[in-house]
Amino acid sequence: MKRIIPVIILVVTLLTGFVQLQAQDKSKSSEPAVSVLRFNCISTSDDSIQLIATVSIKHEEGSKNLANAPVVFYATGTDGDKKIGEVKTDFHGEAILKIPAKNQYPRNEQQMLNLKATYEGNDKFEASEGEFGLKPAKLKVSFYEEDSVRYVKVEGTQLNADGTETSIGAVDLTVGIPKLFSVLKIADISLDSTGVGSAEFPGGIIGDSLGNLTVIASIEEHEIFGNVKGYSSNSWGLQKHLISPDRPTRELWTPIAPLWMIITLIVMLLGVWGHYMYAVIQLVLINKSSGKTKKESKS
Amino acid sequence: MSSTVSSDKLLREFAPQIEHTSRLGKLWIGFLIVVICYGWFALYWQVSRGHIVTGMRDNVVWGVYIVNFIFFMGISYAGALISGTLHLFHAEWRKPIIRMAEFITIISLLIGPCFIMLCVGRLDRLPNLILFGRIQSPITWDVIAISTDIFGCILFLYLALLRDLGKMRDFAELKVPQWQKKMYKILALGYTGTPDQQIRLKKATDIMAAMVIAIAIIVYSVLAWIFSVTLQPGWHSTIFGPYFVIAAVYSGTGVLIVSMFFFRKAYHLEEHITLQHFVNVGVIMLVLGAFFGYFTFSEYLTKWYGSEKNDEQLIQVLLKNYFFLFILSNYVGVLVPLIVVGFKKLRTIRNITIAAGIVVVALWLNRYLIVVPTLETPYLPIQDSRLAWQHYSATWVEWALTAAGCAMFCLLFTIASKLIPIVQVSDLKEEPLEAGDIYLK
Repeated sequence: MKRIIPVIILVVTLLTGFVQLQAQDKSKSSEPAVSVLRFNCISTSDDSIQLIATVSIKHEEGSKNLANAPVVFYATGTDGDKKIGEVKTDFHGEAILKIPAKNQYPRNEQQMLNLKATYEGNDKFEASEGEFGLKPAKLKVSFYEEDSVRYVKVEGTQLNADGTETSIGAVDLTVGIPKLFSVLKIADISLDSTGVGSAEFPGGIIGDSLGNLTVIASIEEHEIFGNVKGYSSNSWGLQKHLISPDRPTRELWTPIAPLWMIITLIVMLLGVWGHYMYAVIQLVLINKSSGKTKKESKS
Repeated sequence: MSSTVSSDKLLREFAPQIEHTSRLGKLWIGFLIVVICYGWFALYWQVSRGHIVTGMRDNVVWGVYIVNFIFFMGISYAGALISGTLHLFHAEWRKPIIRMAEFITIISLLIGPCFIMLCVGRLDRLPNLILFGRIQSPITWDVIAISTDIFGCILFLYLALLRDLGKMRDFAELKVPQWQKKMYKILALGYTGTPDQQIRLKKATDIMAAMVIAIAIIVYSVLAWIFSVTLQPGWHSTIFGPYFVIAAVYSGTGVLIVSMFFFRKAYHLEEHITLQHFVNVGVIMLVLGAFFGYFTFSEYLTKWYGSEKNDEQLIQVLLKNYFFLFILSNYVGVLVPLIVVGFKKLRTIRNITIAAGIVVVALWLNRYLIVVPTLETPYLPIQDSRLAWQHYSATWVEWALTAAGCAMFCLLFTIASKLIPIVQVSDLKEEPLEAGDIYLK
């Protein structure tokens, strides 16, 4: 019995470990997963509206985007839904459809377009849908310099149902520059009643290798206009150089290692290999001394 | 009584192990070769189809291969540290087991880096590590450190073998093939044990014993730094260097005890490797286990108490998805050896070996829990990736190659014991033979 117990412990340890390793990734549920459709529309400065539907599924660890899911876009009105188009979601779970800002889709009494995106679902995923209402609008971004001070100017217009363009009126918006992970905000602008506003353009922003910057003016989640974005670019940024050709530095990320690191490595390697060499020399001397002993014994 | 007589007697005792292989031994070697062939097939499968046949993906880029790499490197450093320390402290009881520790060092040092090669998708770019290596990169540190360590350990083993090689060259009764005799002659370097040779050998061995200890600590710390200098939850820790060293020696002690058990059985070394040896190495294992438990507790306590978002997320993943593995590696793996070796009544050879086996499994799992859950919970959340790609699960290819690695370790160990006595013959002194032929009680 004394012998069996430890053996059982070892076997159980081995088996439990292996089974756990194998089983850790098995999914448990076979019911259809809950799908969520997030629907967003953006009026852009090229006189179009981007309809973006993101389909994701919920599971225990959070939510994951669903690829290759067919999403149907509709314009809703009093006469029922009018199909705009159907797009499958991409690898990011997004189905994107671009429609012209000047269009014949039905509008409500506030001249707003009511749009809908639906995902029908299947055996694995439940159906879901989302709605969005907006009045098409446009932001025009320009730049000017006055008394050596640089400014960014934004003009906002709205597109009426009869096809005419009028001022967007007093609206708050932000101006930013897209960076690697997010948009760097550089100004908040409140447009006046004529739909025009400006702000000082900050210096010292790093652009590309030529100093080019893309500037985005955006109205987000406005109750009438929804999301509106206007783009423009200038060359007021600082030129980006990863490594200054004039001043090569010894940093972790440069081709030349820090001096302390080189010195430490050389000292350590010399120390270790020096001792190795000493041991090898001793072996060589042992070999030589055996030859000497043989000669002596012969003579 | 001269040491030559003593060594000759011992050689006569160990000669059958070198001269013949039993049917069971042949079966064992055949089994190992079959497992290795299975591994070769898995390797062919991986090379011909690419890494898609493994469980590694864009997010979890490391799996059991890197775990095996850390594990084998760990037991190698343990072998070096144990043999180096016991040599420097002139621990008399070390002599029957020190050869095993040295073999463990060299063999695992040869197998460990092979697992890194298996991780590399483009093996043709491997020379770039040397050609375009930047010494700021921990990968370059590792390449330099491991190659230095391999050379040092081979040199240390060779120095330790030299006297035995001389004895075997001079032992006329040994019935081995001519090539084997020639090999002993060449490798013995004409060592005859003259005072001058003895002094030189002692000097070189003492220096190399000290060097292998230092190198083992440095190299395993460098291996730990590959993780700890990376900004990943669970890895970016200042105690990773000493934690890895302790874990390495702890697992290596386990492997040593298991090896002692099997070689004792296979080669009937009951007279040389006694319960006292198991207890002595077991006590080393106990002390290391206590240190390992302390480091583990310290590591997780500070992370848990800090409540940093990503650390908390990692601990949640460990306790939820890997609960049993976590308990096995950090509780069972620490407590079982403490209890078995700590209580005198439980100190039997079998119990200590079982405890050592548990330590080996637990420490392998410990490395798995360091590598995989962290890669599944990075600082930047995993987005736009298939669900199956966000979690790691090893495939049959990885398990086959892991089994092949272990089989290769056992095979090389077996072959080494067929070429050189598994117990150091030249150092064992015969006691007065009043009551029968018993050496070193």
